[in-house]
Amino acid sequence: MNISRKKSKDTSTLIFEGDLTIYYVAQIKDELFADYEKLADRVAFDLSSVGEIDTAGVQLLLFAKKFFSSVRRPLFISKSNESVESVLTALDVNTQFAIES
Amino acid sequence: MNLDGALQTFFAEAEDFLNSMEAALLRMDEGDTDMETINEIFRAAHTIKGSAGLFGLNDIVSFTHIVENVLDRARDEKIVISSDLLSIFLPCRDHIAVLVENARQEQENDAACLAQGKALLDSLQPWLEAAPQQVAANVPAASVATTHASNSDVETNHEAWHISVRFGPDLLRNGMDPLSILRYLRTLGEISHITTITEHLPAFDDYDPEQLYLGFEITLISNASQQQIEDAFMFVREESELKIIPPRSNIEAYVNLIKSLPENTQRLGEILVKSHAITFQELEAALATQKSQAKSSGAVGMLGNILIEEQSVPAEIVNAALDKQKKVSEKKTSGENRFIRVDAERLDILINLIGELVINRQRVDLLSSKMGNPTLIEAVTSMGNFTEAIRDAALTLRMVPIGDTFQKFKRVVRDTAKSIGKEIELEIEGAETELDRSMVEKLNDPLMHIVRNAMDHGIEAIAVRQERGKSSSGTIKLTARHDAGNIVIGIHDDGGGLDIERIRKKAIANGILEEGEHLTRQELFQLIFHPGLSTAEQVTNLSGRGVGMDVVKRNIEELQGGIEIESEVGVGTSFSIRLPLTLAIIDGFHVTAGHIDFIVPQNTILECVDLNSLMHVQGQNCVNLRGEQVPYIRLREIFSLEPKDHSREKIVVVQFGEKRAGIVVDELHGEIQTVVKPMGPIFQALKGIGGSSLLGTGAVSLILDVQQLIGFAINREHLRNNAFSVSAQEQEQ
Repeated sequence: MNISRKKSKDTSTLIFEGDLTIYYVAQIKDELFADYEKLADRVAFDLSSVGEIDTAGVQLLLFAKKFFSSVRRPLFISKSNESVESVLTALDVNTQFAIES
Repeated sequence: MNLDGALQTFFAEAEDFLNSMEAALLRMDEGDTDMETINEIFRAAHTIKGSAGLFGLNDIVSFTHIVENVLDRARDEKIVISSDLLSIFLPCRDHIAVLVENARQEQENDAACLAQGKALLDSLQPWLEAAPQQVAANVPAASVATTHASNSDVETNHEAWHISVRFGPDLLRNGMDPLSILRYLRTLGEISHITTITEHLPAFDDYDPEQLYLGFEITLISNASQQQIEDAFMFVREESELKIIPPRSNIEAYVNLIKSLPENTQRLGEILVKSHAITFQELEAALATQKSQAKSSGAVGMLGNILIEEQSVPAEIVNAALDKQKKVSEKKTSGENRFIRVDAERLDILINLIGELVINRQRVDLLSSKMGNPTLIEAVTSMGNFTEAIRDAALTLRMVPIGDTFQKFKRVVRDTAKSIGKEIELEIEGAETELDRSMVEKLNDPLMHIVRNAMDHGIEAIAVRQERGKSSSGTIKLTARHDAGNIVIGIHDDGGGLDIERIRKKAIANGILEEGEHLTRQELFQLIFHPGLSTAEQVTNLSGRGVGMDVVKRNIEELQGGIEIESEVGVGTSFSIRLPLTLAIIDGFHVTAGHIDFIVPQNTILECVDLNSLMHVQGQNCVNLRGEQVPYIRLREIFSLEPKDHSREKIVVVQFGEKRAGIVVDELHGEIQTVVKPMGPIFQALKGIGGSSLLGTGAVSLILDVQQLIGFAINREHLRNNAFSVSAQEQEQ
């Protein structure tokens, strides 16, 4: 799993590449929240390059959502793909990551 | 709970289910049309599908699902299981076995495998309904037990279950994923609503990404039984909190649910309202009345009673449903709880320890009788009885009926007969005969080889059989019985028999036998076990390459057993394999010859007599035992031991198979339990000794190999005495 950051105006985009599964969540957690202070006011996840995602992955996203809102940085998913979307829908959590206007 | 453990359980269970499925299918092939047999097949498929779903083994689920659909239609008597259908079901069962095996080996199912599955499903198509089946329709409706009226009632009313689950924190770490459970629930019906409970996600520092904090509130529209829904959570049940509210439950049930869950009441109420389980007004009213009432016991159970009291569901439907659930759970208890799976290695450790216990007990025995304290002796004696009982019980732990092994051959015989264009029936006798599990495993290959040989070379082609005036269908019979501490397994066929002259010619041609060398009938038959001798004129893909029969014999000898052949041209061939029941602990009879201790295995002993009291046959080492001539040997002689003074020799008459002989010893001491220790490598070639054992005194005793000693005694008498008729010799040999 690889996370790269891109900053534009008020939004930082984090691009996930690889599997969002139990095997990587610990590593992702360390990378994801490192230096979060440097992120812009809004955080976007680009999940279009995520391969597999399981419950641990979804939980990490939910946790990220909760965490970023606690530091006043709204989180949304800017891009995703079919497999991510189907899992988020199956757990009915997809609406929580909608872009807030 | 560890996933590995659960997965292994699944594989072991799947194997059992596949076996019982095969057995049931073969029974149907033989004309069994009992509804229970169809049910058995259905249950096997259903359970494999269900468990596979939990582990996300989707190939197994999707394939088995279709098979199950067809079976379900057979259960509802919408279709009849014909022989056409059976001949598809058997390969389907095999395909499931392949998929399970691939999963076990963590191998991807390759294209060829998937294509085969597809082909099988296509061939099942005629038995499926014309319209594409809905997943939910596959759920076994309360078909057989319920009346038609209530049956349709259940089917037309889609039922919304409410499932509330909080998983254990280690679930993910153990490799389980709630997503696969949801996926499985979808095969039972439709998840109309789901709420992921995120309340328990901790603060940043406490958050362990590998721990599961999520819970789920699920609304499931399904005709499934509570048992089926609970089964979805089978492998996570122990560590999870699971609450299932059946459809159309009393409002109280929901209120109790809300109260019993750790989360905020308001929030849970909202979830339930949102999922249309209850209305907002109902919730408010219920909460209010509950508050005003004295705190009741708040039991969630007994919903059935509430339902009937409230008259919301006709009593007979509830009863029918309960009845069915009860049946399911009875099935489960009778099937699952009767057996515990134990690692074979653990059993071996236990049996080894008990072996040591047996030795020590003898030592305590000896010491206590030396001390002469009556109370102590009494206590030791009763302890001894228990030790014996424990030993026997421990040994039976490893005993399994041979029937399961035999059963496998039904399939082999059926398929092989078809492929080589012969008609062959397999008869089984003595399937309940038990023997040590470790031996069963090693018996498989030799049996398989002999049975294949019998089918290929033994049983003649249909035309030949008719020509010979036999019935066109040949018979192979597998038998098993206990005989004097041994198990005797027979493989009989009514085929062409072994042509003794052809064996002789072939052996001479291959340089195994000298021209003009005289062999007994049995010795000639035994030549077929010689490496590199195959009498088949035509090599087929089944057998006839001349490899294998020697391996058969070697395998059986490794198990301390022997194999004999009887055959008559045109009538058939019989193999009988004689094996000891177990190799670990035996009941022995302690004797001495010279100053050495020996153990004679108790189960071979017929009687013990004073040697001088018997009539000796003139000029031979043979006694007349009630008119029968029994050859004997002196242990002192064959092991060159110093004679003991003033001893009155005793003869121990032993038997192995049909053969008898006497073993002459100096003293008889009595029964003793013996833990068999194999001889060290240097002594393995020693004839007449099968192992060693420690006595209670700490002295070493030697366990006699009765089979070899009998052979030795009989042979010596043959050499000595040519007055025996040739045929009599052959029989004894």
